[in-house]
Amino acid sequence: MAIPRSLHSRPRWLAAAALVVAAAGCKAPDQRIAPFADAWGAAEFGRAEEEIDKLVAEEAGVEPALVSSSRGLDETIVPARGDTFLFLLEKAMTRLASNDTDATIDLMRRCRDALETRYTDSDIKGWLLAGVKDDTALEYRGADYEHVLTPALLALVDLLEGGQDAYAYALQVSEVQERILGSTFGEDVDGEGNGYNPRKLYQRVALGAYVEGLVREREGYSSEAFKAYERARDWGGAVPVVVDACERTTNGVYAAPHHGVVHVIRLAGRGPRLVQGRSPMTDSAMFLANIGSIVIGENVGTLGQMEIPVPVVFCPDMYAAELEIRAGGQVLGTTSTLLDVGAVAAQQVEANLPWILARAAIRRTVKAVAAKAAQDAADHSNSDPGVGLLLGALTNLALTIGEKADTRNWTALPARFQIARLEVPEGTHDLDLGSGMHASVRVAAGKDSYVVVVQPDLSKAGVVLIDVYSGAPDPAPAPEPAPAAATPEAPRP
Amino acid sequence: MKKNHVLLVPLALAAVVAACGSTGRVKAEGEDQLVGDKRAGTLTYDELVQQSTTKLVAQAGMQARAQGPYKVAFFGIETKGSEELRDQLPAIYDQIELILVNSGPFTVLSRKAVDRASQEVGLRDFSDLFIAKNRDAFIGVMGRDSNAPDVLVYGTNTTQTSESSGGWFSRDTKERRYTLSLEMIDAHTGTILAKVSDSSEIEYKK
Repeated sequence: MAIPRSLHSRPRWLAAAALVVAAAGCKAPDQRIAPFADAWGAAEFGRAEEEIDKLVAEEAGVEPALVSSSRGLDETIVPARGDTFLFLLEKAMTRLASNDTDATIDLMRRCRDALETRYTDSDIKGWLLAGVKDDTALEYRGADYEHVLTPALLALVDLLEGGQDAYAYALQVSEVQERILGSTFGEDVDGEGNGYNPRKLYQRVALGAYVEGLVREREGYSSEAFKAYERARDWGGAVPVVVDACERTTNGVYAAPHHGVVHVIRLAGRGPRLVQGRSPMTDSAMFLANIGSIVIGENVGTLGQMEIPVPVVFCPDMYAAELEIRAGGQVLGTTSTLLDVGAVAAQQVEANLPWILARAAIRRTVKAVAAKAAQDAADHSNSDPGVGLLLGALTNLALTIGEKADTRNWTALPARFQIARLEVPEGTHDLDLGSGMHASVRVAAGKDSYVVVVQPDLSKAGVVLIDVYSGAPDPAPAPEPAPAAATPEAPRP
Repeated sequence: MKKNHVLLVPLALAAVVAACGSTGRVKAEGEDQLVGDKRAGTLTYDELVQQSTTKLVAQAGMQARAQGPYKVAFFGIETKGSEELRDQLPAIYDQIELILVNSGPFTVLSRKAVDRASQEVGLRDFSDLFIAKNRDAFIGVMGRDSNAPDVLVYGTNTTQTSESSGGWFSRDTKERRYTLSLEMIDAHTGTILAKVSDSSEIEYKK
C-alpha cells in the first residue's frame, strides 16, 4: 500500500502518536512500586529495601550501589528530581525498619523539603492545563495527607533519638495541616465564586497535636499539654489514649512517684495503596469542567464522556486490631488508634475526585481539538479526505488510549497509628508485644520511654525500636570458654 | 558552511549543559550568606550564637582564678521552636565552646564525656540540673576522671511566628522571630550565674 504524501510531509503526527502509544505501554505507577510494596507488606524488609533502591536509582539517575552504600543520602541523589522523593520516603521506612533512625530522619527531612516545593494552592489555570497525556505525566505533588504525615513521622522517629527536635516536627505537622486546610485552591475558579475546594472536606489529623502534648507533658507543662491534647481530641474524636491524656493533664499527675511512662507506638498493617479504577463523569465534575474550560479559553464539549480512569484507595488492613501489651502475664494496656491512614487517604481521594474527573474531561476535549486540527491540516494539503480522517482518528486514539489514573502514593505508611501509654514502676521491664515481639525497656522515674513497633504484616513479628535512653543494655557477654587442649586437626576428606 | 554547523551544535549543547548543571563556588571572605527562604539558615544561627554566647560570658563576669580556668560542662541546646536544629547543632555547639574558651577564663569539658555521664546518671532534661542529687551524681561521675565541672551551660531555641495572608497585590507573609537563650549555673549550688538571650527576625514571602 502506498503511503499518502501528506503522511510523509507530516511525520511529526505519527511520531507523536507513536511516542504516546509507547508511553501508554509504560508501567502504571502502582505496578512500578508493586515489588517494593509487596515485599514491605510481607515484612520482608531486606527485599523491600533492595527493590526500592532500584527505583530510587532509576528515578535519580544514579547507580543502585550508590543508593544502598550511601543509605540514599548521597548528594547526587536529588529528591526533587522526578518522583525521587516519593521513593526516598519508602526508603526512609526501610531504614527505620533497620533501626537506622539517623538516616530515616535525614531522608524524611529531604523529602519534606522537596514536598514543600511541590505544594501548590494557587495557579488553578496552570494546574488545569498541565498533563497532556494523563495525570501521571505531571510531577507528583504528594497527597495532602503525605505532606502532613512526613513531619508527624519525623516527630515520632526523633523521639527514638532522644527527642531533641520532636517538638519542632510536631509543630510543623500543625503548620502544614493548617496551610492545607486554609487553602482556597479551586474555590473560585472564574472569579465569580464558582468552584469547589476539596480541602474543606478534609478531616484534621490528631497525631501531631498528640505528640506536641506528649512532649509538653513530659517537660512538666500540664496546661500547655492539655491544650495540645484537647486539639487532638477535637480532631481525632474520643480516642481513649487522648481522652485519658486530657483528664490526666487537667485533674491528674504525670505518673505516680517512682513511676515512669512507656509510650508504645505501633505502625500497624499495610497502609493505603492507590490502584486504578474507573468512574463515570459526574454532574459536579462536569460543572467544574465547564467552568475550568472557560478559564483556560478552550471551547470544551463535555457531553458524551466515557468512563475515566481514577485512583482508588486499596487498604487491606483497614481493620487492624489493637495491640495488647503484657508484662509478666499481666495486661499493662491496650493501644488506641490515633490515626486511620487508610480512612484519611480514602476521604481525600474521594474529596478530590470531582477535580480529577473535571481535569480528565478538559484534557480529553483538548485532545479532541488537537485531533481535529490534525485532520484539518491533512485535509488542507491532501485531496483525499480519508487521509485527514485517518490522521485525526490516529491522533485522538494515540492521545487517549492508555490513559492512566495517577496511582502514585507512599505505600510503606501503616494502615493505622496505634498508641498506648503505660505507667510503670522505674526499672527494667520486658514488654510482650504479641506475635513473638518483646521490648526490654529501662524506665526511669518521671521520664518517658518510647517503643515503636513497625509491623506491616499483622500475622508476623515486626521490628521493635526503643529510644536511645531506654534500651536496656545488652547482657554481659558470656565468659570465653577456657582454651581447650590442642586437638589434632581432623583429616580433610 | 555545513561543516561550521556541525561544529556549532556540540558547542551550543555544551553551553546549555554548562548553564543547567550543578555548580559550586568558593565564597569570598565577608561575602553575604544566604538567608533561607523557608527556614532559618547558617546566617541566622551564626549571629544568634555569637551574640548570645558573648553576652553570657560578659554577664557571668568570671575572673581568672588561681586554680586555673573554670571547667564548663555544656549540655546542649533544647529545641522549643517550630524549626528543627538537627544539622545546625554540631556547628552551634562548636561555636559556643569556641567562644567560651576564647573569651573567658573557661575550659570546656569533652562533650562526649558530658553525654556519657548524663546518660549514666539518667539526666534527660535540663530541668534535672536544678535537683541537687542529680547535679551531685553528675559531678561524681565526671569527677571520677578528674573532670568535675564548675559551671553548667545549656540553651534553648524558640520561635514566634506571625502570618498574614496576601491580597490582590501582595504575597502571603510570615514573620518569624528566632531566639537563642543560654543559661550558666553553678555546678555545686544550682544558682543561675548568667542568663541571656538574643533574637533575630526573618520575613518570609511566598
